[in-house]
Amino acid sequence: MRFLLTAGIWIVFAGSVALFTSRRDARGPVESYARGPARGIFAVEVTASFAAEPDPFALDTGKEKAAGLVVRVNGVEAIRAATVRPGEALRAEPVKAVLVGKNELFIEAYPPQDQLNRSHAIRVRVLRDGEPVAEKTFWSEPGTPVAVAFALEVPAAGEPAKDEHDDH
Amino acid sequence: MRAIALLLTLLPFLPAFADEPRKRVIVCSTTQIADFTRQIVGDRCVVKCILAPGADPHTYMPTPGDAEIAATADLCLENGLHLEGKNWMATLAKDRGKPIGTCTEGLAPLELEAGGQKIHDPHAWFSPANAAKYVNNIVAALSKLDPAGIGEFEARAKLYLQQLRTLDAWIKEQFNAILPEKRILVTSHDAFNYFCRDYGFKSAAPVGWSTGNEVGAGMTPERRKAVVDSIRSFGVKAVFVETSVNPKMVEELASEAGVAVGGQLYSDSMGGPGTAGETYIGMMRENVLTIVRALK
Repeated sequence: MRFLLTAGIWIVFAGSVALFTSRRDARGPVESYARGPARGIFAVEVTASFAAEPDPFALDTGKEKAAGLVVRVNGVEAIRAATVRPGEALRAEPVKAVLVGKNELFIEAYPPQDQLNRSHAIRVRVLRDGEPVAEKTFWSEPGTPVAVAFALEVPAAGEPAKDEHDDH
Repeated sequence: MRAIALLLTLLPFLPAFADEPRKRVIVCSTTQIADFTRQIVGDRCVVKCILAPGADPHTYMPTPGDAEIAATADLCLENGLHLEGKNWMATLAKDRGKPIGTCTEGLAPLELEAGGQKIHDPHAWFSPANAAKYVNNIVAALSKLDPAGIGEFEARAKLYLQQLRTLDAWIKEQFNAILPEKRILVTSHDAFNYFCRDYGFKSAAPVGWSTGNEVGAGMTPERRKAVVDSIRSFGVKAVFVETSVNPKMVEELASEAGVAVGGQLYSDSMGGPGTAGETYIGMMRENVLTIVRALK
């Protein structure tokens, strides 16, 4: 009787611990919320003060061509150029990835490796129906390529867009 | 009864052990390749290296212990271009039926003229841009082996490639302090050609591309005399010994030419644990600082 009681207590204990450990990391379904595309036709324009060229230190996965300049809007590629001349404006229009609310533009550009030891500038403009809604100039740190994240708040309709940025 | 009680006590912990997947084992020939691989796999795989820090890949003879290490491999990685004397890494992998990846694949090698033959210089990692190619080749080999880990491998590789780019820019800035005519690098063996090409140096070494006995390898009296003459005629301030080569020859050469030994450079092998040269970036950084200190 005493043995059965001990065994019973252990089975309950062991079962509880096993149940706890198996459920511990389980996550409930995440509520998703959808944001609609922003109204209007958006364009992104970038102008570099330097000649951008394919990065010799790029990760080559064979999936995409090496680029000197890449712009992504909310993770969707808007511009990819192998080479860019200094002062040349590259424009993507329409940019359909812009959503109502907070958006993030990521700009990555590679100056020639022998010019990497000084700062380089890149200007970014976002236009809505041909009108500029945000404009910023970013500078790289000497020794690093240009890599900036540019946050853009797009209201549902009518109100002006707000920008803020985060340099890397 | 005690055994049953013990079993019941351990029961809740059994699933945790059962869930632990076996980590894949990557066996690398050189310390540089092992470091690149560690930067890419993190803790997802186990990385083992055949060569110990300071060992010479040209003359290395694999031991029965190395064969046992190769037997545990899911993937072997070698430098290629005959850095591993008599292709010892490829032989180890083949004997155990293991797949092998060559890190210098697709890279444009420097051609050296030796004994009337053209030799491909195997010391390609001395160019950080080439090191980036090693990293890409390793990512490709790992992605075939472990497709579920591709995202992780690529994310880590991207960060490491940025570090290599920064290293390259930093080296150029450091060498800016040495006048172009003073950029002559005299080392034990002819291992620094890629480095010299990238950073505007001329190289000279009494021993050829390998310390072994391959074509164009080893030391000849003519080669030694040419190095001494170069040191004198170009007014070289210092010569350098290498961590993986006996320093005696360079010390004698320095004494004969009347120049100082500028320090020790990491060459075919990186430093041991706890040293500044235990990583590729650390090894390159220390080499550059040693060269700048001696030649400036």
